[in-house]
Amino acid sequence: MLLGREGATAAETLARLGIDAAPPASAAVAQGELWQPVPEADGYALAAQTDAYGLYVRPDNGGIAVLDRRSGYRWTSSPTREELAKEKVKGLLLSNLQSAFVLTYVRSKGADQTIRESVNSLSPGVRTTIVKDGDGIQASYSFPDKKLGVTIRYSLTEAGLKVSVPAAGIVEDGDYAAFSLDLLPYFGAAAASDDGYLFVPDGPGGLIRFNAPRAGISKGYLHEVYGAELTNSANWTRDAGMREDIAYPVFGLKKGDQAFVAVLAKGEGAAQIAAMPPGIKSSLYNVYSSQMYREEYLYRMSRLAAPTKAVQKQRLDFDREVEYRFLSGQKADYSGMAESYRDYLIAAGSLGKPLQPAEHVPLYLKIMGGNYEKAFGRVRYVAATTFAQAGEMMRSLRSKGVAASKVAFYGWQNMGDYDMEKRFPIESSLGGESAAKAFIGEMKAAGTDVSFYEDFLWVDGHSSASGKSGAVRAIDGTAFIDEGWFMAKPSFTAASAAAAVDRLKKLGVSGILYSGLGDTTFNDYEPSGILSRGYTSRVYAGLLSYTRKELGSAGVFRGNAYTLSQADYISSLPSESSYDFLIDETVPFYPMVLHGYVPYTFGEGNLRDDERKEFLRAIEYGAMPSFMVTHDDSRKLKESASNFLYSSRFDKWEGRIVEEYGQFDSLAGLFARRITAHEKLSADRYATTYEDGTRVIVDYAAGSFSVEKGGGA
Amino acid sequence: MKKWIALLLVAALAWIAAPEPASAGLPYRTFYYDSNQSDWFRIQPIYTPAGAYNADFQEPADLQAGPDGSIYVADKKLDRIVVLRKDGSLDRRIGEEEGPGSLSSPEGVFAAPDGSVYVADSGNQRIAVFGTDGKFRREYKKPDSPLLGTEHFVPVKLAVDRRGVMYIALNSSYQGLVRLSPDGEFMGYFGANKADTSMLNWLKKLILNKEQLSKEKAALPKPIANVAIDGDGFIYTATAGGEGKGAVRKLNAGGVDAFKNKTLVNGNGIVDAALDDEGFLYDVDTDSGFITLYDRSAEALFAFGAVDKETQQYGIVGYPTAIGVDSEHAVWVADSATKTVHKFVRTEFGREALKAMALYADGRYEESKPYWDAVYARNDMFNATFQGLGKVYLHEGDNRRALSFMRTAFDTDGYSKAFWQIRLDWLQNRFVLLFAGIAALLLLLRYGRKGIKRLLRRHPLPEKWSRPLGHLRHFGSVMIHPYEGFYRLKETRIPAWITLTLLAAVLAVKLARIYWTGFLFHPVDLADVNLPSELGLFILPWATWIIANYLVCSVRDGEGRFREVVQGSTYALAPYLFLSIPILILSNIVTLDEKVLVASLTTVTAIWLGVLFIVMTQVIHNFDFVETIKNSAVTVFAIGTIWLFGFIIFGLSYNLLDFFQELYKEVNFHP
Repeated sequence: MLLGREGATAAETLARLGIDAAPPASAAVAQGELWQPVPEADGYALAAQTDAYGLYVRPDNGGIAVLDRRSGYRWTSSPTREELAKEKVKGLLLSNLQSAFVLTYVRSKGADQTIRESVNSLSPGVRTTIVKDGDGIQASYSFPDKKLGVTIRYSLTEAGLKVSVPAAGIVEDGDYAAFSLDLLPYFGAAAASDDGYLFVPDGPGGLIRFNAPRAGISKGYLHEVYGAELTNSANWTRDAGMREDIAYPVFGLKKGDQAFVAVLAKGEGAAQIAAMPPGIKSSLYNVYSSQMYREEYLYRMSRLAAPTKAVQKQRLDFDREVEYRFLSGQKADYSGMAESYRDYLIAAGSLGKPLQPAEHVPLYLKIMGGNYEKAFGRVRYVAATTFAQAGEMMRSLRSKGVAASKVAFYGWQNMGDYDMEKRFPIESSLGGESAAKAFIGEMKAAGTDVSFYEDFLWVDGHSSASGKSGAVRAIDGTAFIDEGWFMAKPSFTAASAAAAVDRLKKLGVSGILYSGLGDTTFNDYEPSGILSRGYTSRVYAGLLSYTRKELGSAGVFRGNAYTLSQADYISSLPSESSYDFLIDETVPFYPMVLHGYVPYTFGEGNLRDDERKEFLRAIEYGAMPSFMVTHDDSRKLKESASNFLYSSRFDKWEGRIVEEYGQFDSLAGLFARRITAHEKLSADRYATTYEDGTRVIVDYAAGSFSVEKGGGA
Repeated sequence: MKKWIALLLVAALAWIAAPEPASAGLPYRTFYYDSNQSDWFRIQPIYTPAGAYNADFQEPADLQAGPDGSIYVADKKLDRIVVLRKDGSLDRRIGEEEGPGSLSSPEGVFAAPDGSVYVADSGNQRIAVFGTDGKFRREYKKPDSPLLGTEHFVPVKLAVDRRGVMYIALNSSYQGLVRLSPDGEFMGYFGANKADTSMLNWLKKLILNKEQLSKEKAALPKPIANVAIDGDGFIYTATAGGEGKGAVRKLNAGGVDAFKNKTLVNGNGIVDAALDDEGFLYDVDTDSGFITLYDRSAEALFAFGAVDKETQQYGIVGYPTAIGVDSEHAVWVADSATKTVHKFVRTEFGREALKAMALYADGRYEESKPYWDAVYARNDMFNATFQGLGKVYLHEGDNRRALSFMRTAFDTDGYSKAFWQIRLDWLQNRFVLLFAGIAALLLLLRYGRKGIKRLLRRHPLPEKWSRPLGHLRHFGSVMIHPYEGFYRLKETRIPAWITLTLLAAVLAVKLARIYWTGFLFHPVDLADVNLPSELGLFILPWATWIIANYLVCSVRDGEGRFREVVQGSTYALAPYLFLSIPILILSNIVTLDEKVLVASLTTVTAIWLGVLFIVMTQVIHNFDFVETIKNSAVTVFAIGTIWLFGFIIFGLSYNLLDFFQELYKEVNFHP
């Protein structure tokens, strides 16, 4: 059994904190009557119908089409016969184009267990069984020679089409195992001559235009939702370039005046989002989800041996569901996609309550207390800002016109990051508990919330906690320990965070800014059964909710979609693309979803790579002002792990903070408003429109922005 | 917090993504090189990617930012020169027309200030020249010269100086650049690399006979990979391999290398080098995977970008073939893997930092101040700022501030200059006082000693103190009269506590030397001193000497007993103890100009110690002189053997320990 703290089992810990980490109930495979309609001339037969949409299925191979009854436009899972005739690819690639799925499998016995092969609905010997199942259709495919099978269910929703792959429908009776399933790979695929783009969740949102010339594309966009698996060492030495992990499981396509946005509604943690330009797998642009059932990894027999490739044995065994939401006319663009995704989140209860209008925007100020360094053969704490100095700084800011602010205090733990499990008493060089209490009390009286920052995921080797029971199991089955640090199991994180929350509550701390909870999720490869990313995400969301209940607020970084309903603040929300050749334009899709619901900030104002551009980007994307400061010279921290703070001395930055705050505060009327549209006016000018009609126009060439007031601002 | 640890990763590891959530910003990291500490540190971006342009390239093989602001790219596969505008758009193409001007696999291009374009037309084995209008003007075939012999004339890269003399790199030629006059006459080879004179080759020459040697691969000089020229007419050659030794050479008209075959940081896999109008040098290196900026003396400044043949991101180059810098300091890199030309532009911070450095290099310290201040405002971890501002303060006469900035930057030269000034002021202000002080000290020494003697005569010390005091006094006299001293030492039995006291005093002096030596002679951060290892490395040789000396000498009929060897070896340390004191004092008051004082005292100490140890061996073991020298040599050899043995034992037991650790992990953590 998994042990949390003080011998309590993981289940007990979670129950005590009121966290429900149980997976949603799995869907069963329907055993309905065979569906044997008479197809129309084009091969499709009507399978289901609502006021808005009609679902058509080809009885012969399970290909599907969705008719938008209002516009008359029909989306299909495969290109038309004419388009196929123009296709240059042959063989498997050509048949993939006509299939509703591509199932990739590996051998589970004998040699060469890492060789991947694929089948689809046109493969020789495939047996297709289609049954009517309530409001939808269920297509089962079995490949008798490999004893493999997969079941896909289609049904119509109010907004479009729901496609699900029940875990119970995966059949592996022979020597083969499912590796991945590309779902509706060519749904809505477009030619380079079409007008439109693919939408991928790169950074704040990325567009791949159909007619753009670009260079040197040898791979498409293929990235795992929430980032690659942390414990798989095959992922560490990946491409040279660093990139922005996917924070929200969404993709889309716009073609002419029609568009769809697809949301990965279930099992999104085990999926990749794929977008292919012509010339890689076909001559079309296509975008889809690739559901992962197993992963290839590297393992070492010993430290001296070269690592070997292997494929994980246990399957990632849970239901998958993708919801395609259709848009047409005015709404058929990325602004419409963002609105549709927001509607989806609200309906699913995955986005919190709307924000209340505020007179002033809050300044999110991070204050670095200090950290430890090694000097003269011992460990010592270097204080950069004491609680008393923090109080002085805040008083000074207020007197200069910063009307509202929220503070996150870093480095308050006993000896900073040294021995991460020993957080208390609060570091004495900063003034200890009494000074902390005084500072928090004074801030509270002035209306400023003080949160404490902490990481409960990584535990260092100096702490007494044991990686043996506390560490997550890596994909190769060992406890995951990297250079002495181990990655805590979600239940361990929850237990130690809750212990800290209970103590901080006595000090009057009004929240925790959590590192990790919003930006890291992983599978725990327990031999008794994989605890999936879904489990991790549910525990983390539960911990956020517990923190809110006990202290008042909880903040996260990056803001992965599973934290949205429980987060009061997102720091470092993605604002930059990953610099892919393939991505032609970066758009504020995610900010448009969040604005008016969760306040967010981008990089700290004093640590920007490009001061002017990033400031304007924050204005354009509706972010809040944010800085990270110290009272003393940040050079004091040079020898500590906090040496990323290369310029943070408060008196150096105060003027800039006040000035920038003023600029952000001029948009205070928009704080609680939704963003309804965003457009590029010219090469350097962008307009963001809010629900009251106010337009914020940012001009990068001039380095300024202007506001066109709407009705309510 | 874990992800912050990763920020400390050194440059070499930078491209290995640590197990951390990837996040924000550029796809690569930027580092600065601190030459005072010989290490790379992270810094905010100096350059950001502006794009990767594809003007239908198939194989961009060379690139030059022309004096007219255009970018000239040689496309080897499509047999043409492509000219891009500064924004990356296509301007025109050269060499496409059928006829005499038609190119074949051009691998090098050079745009001359007069507007003509020289092309290393490899396939046609010639240099083709085009006019400003893009029309073919003339060609240079292989010159008729017996010196060129049978070598194939396959030009791959070239540079042309103001007079029109061409410096041509031939395909894998080890003889250097071919110099051609504007008339096409052969003017001799130029700037060949030196042949590889490695230890291995030297050993081979020593051991192998003629026949065997002739079978060995000849140690030929490495071929020059690329060539560039600056405004003053210096020719720069880029040569890969050799761990960066002579990777970039700066040759004057006489072929003399102004960089003196310097080892270039990030130079082992150098592809090409370029220069800007401020004298900064840029290279792209496939080995480290960085684009690196250097100052005028080829000291590394910044490194950014990355090389990855699978690249799908701006800012990461696939297979770089050439680098160029335009008049706005944008860096252009030709990339044959992605068939594009990448462009990087300076950030605001980069502009300020490099402007400050350029002014600093010109000696215009006053003008550099606002730029340094701007850089300091954005980064107070960047050590070059402290060096730069230190120099500014030195010029302003603010020596105290200069001193503290130079110390922060670990710049001993600057520190020494500031210190010289401060010392001068101090002396000038307190000359009389100092003089009086010295006089008083001398008087005190003279009369104080007499006084003490008189005092002792009147109140003699207790009888039992006299022997220990004698032993202690003896410690000093051994130094001056070693033979006599050690003979007397051999006869006396020194109590252990005296020996220990003396050893403790020596250790105390060692400690003082670690922590109190002047900054100029020990420029390290005292907080980083690893005290156990420093002391260990001090004690270990002495301890092994005792063991080895005793063992060796007792085998070779030495008379000395173990106690005597310990005693003698302790007393032989006297020069270290006594001479360290003046060294310590001097190190705190002299500047680098007078460092010879400290250096010579240190040398004297070492020689004195050596002499004492040899005399000690001779006296204690009662050897004659030749025997002593022999046995001392054997002792030193024995010390080496003991250490080697120690290393082997350590290595083996480490492996064993590692094995048990792995086993423990396997049992405990593996289900």
